[in-house]
Amino acid sequence: MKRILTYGALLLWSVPMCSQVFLQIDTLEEVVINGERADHTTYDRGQTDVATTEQTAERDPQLNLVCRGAYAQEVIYRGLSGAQVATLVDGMRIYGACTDKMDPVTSYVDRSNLSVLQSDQTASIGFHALNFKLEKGEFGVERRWKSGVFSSYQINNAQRRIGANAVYESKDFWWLASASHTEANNYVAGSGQKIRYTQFTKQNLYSASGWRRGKHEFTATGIVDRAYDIGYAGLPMDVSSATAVITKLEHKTSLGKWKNLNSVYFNDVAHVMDDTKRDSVFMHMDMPGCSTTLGYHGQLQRVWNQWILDVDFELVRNRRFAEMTMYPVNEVEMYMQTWSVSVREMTILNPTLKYFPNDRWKFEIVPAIAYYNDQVKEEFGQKQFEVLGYDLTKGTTSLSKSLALTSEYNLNKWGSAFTFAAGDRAPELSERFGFYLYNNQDGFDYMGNPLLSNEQFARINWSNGLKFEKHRVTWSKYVYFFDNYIFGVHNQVLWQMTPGGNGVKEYQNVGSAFIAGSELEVSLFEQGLVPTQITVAYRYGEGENVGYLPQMMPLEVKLFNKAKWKGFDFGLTNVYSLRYTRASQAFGEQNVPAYWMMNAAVSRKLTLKKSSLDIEIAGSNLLDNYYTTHLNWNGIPQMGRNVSLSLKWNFGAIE
Amino acid sequence: MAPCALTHQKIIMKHIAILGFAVGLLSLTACKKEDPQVVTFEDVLLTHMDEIESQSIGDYTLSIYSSNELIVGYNELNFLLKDADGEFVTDYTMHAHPMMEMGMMMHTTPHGHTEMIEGEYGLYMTDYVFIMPSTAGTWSLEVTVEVDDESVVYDFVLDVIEPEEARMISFMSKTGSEEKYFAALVGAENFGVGENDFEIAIYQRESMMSFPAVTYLTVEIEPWMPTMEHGSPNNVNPVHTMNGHYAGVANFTMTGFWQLKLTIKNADGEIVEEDLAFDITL
Repeated sequence: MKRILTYGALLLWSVPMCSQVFLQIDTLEEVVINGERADHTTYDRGQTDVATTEQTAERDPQLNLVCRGAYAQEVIYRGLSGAQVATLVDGMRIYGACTDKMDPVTSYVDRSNLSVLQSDQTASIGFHALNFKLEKGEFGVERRWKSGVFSSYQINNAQRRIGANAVYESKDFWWLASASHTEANNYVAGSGQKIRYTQFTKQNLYSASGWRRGKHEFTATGIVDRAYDIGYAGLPMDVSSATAVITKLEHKTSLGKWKNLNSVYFNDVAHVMDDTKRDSVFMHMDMPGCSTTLGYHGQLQRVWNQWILDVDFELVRNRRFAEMTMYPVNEVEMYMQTWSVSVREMTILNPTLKYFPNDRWKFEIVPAIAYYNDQVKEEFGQKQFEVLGYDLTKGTTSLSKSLALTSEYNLNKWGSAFTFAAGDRAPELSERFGFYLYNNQDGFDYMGNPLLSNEQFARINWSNGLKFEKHRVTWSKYVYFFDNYIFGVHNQVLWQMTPGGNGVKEYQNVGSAFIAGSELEVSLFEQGLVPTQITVAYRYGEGENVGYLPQMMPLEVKLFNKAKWKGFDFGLTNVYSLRYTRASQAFGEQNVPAYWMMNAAVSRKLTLKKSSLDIEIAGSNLLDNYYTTHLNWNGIPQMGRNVSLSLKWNFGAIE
Repeated sequence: MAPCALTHQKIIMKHIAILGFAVGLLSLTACKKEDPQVVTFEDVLLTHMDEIESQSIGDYTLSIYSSNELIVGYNELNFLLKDADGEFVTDYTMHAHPMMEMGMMMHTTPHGHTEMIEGEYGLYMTDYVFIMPSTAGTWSLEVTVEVDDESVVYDFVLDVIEPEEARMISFMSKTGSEEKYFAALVGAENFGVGENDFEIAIYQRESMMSFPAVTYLTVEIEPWMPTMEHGSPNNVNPVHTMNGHYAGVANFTMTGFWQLKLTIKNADGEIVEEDLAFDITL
């Protein structure tokens, strides 16, 4: 039940994996992010070292990016984000510490940390899960060391990146580590205009090790990620620092015929906003936030002849706190807690049962249940909500459940997969307990609503595929229905907190909504001289009392070509997006004109005596078009023409 | 969100009653444990209030307690009488008369009734709204105590200070009449972020010697943050409870500098005052 779309090794539909690709359509997709493992069958900068994690993910037509600046773009899945889509790092639940969503969890990892992105429709409670898997070592037969240094420079924003990695593998032990430093200035848009507040600096350290004793296997992973001086052109504030410590211990073993995995993890995220770099601010403010998560994940797996049972169990505790201190001139400071100390404890049980009656059919059933206990722990925060007429001295509990059923049929060149799922999701902590969270896109302060009901959903996904020797077509159609859809509704009674704001919106269950969309992926000449891939995607959404849903998309066509010639790899990407006329006014989106964007790259691997050197020159937005997308906050333009050079020098055993 | 029906006085009375009970309880447990330290009612009182004045005349000592320094604004004075043995006197009555002496002229100040609020210890309480500070003249309080068929007159001098933020505002009626009003916040020192019981006491000047409570007004409140230009939701306009006290709810969403804006109308719905604002720094 996997459609493994390997973008990373760069649309590698030529690897052996692709024989399975067709057999396994949809429902569990994997997009390989090719980390620092430079496999330069390059298509464009989306694959190179200079591309960010998020940019790499965006190659999947199901995923899009929300940009608030040049850094920390938010990956959204089919127009859904935040509470609807769980974004995990190696199975760990991590929650950003910014009340304004300036720090999606993907911003706390580096591309060099990652191996694979699992995009999972059925696993996990809620709607969808994106799991950014971390790079791991392997237990090898013989001892070996691998290491590398990498560096890149991109002209447009003078982005310089330098880093190194090392891997040691032996029979019962492996260890890997990587470190990187990336620094960028403001970028220049297609118009030649410098976009202020798009600079950033990021440092990342990652280490993992595994060891094996008999049937026991242990893995320890740790990431320290720190970004600072980050500009957010789409917002009235920047970020002075965003720091995360992410750790996990994992144990794998077998209990009789059961495979067992247990992991405990801890992560701590701290985020500090900064308005001191802005030309004029109404009033200086300090807005720090933190989010700490402690989790346990257990898994039991067993295979019978035609059955596979997978039982996942999670216990998670997330604690968040964010405050705001304002400093008026010649007056006492003002203080409030935008997220008072809020704690969510959740228990999730999520079994998956797969049945393979024969070569042609496959069935999957995934029930899931989650129990949440949410509470504002601090009296100050409880008092703040008292003003709104809510008593938060006691916690709020909610139960959410979902059921997903999938059937898949494959016959010769043809395959089809159908998924039906229904369930609900509990409101997110911000939706419950957020206190005057300013959204710069629509200009409203958002107020949590402790009495929100769960949002219900039902979804149907139908994928069909056809595979020939050198060509392949996959066509997915989906429709999602929601009831008690959670959305911000203008509350005329409440005063806005933010000076100059438009008012206050309170999260409400607004009624029903739906999203319908389709993605077509065509691969041509897979083994040929110029393999080509075309993706076409479109998405439409509408809701009762909402109008057009936010984060949908116009028809977008992406064309990827690659070629090999005399040891050089060439890649060309063209993206065409039609004009967008269905912006969600209620969400503060803007309609945007059509655009065309072209990227190209050429790379070469040079084999030296005991090492190898990967060299790549890539250009993005070659036409230097000035464009923006409706997902860019306040219409900030994308980067203009850019050329990058990246080098990677590999030592030791070379793949 | 109904306005809290309890006036500030009632809350204090309730509080004191609980205190009295606690004293009993404490001394009980203290006895059982043969603890030599016996907690007296006065000890408990002193954890909440300070003795601001005390005078002995003959066998009797009259002491005045207040939980705050006396300010221009609303104050609650508590009185305890002890005999020569230091025992609380419970069987007595008292009348207190405040007076401001300013050289050529003198006047009294708005005040409530003197009430016994804790009979077991003979604790009396009266509320006073001092309308000017001691820097303008001399505040005196003449207390006449009737005990054992004799009449003892105590004469206290009170030190009344101007608080940093005004807690009493006087204004002339805008209806064209020559009425002068005095509005004082009650319990403003307890304001904090969240939902607050809001209470205001309003008096009128009939003459220099008479400041009766005004009971027929309509009061509208609006907490306002002038720097941020926003208010707060779900406030409840105060309504008259008793003795010129109006109780409602005032909400503050954050700390900082607030103004409590008031609009006051008379029984005919005419605006008496609308630009009144108390500064509240949280």
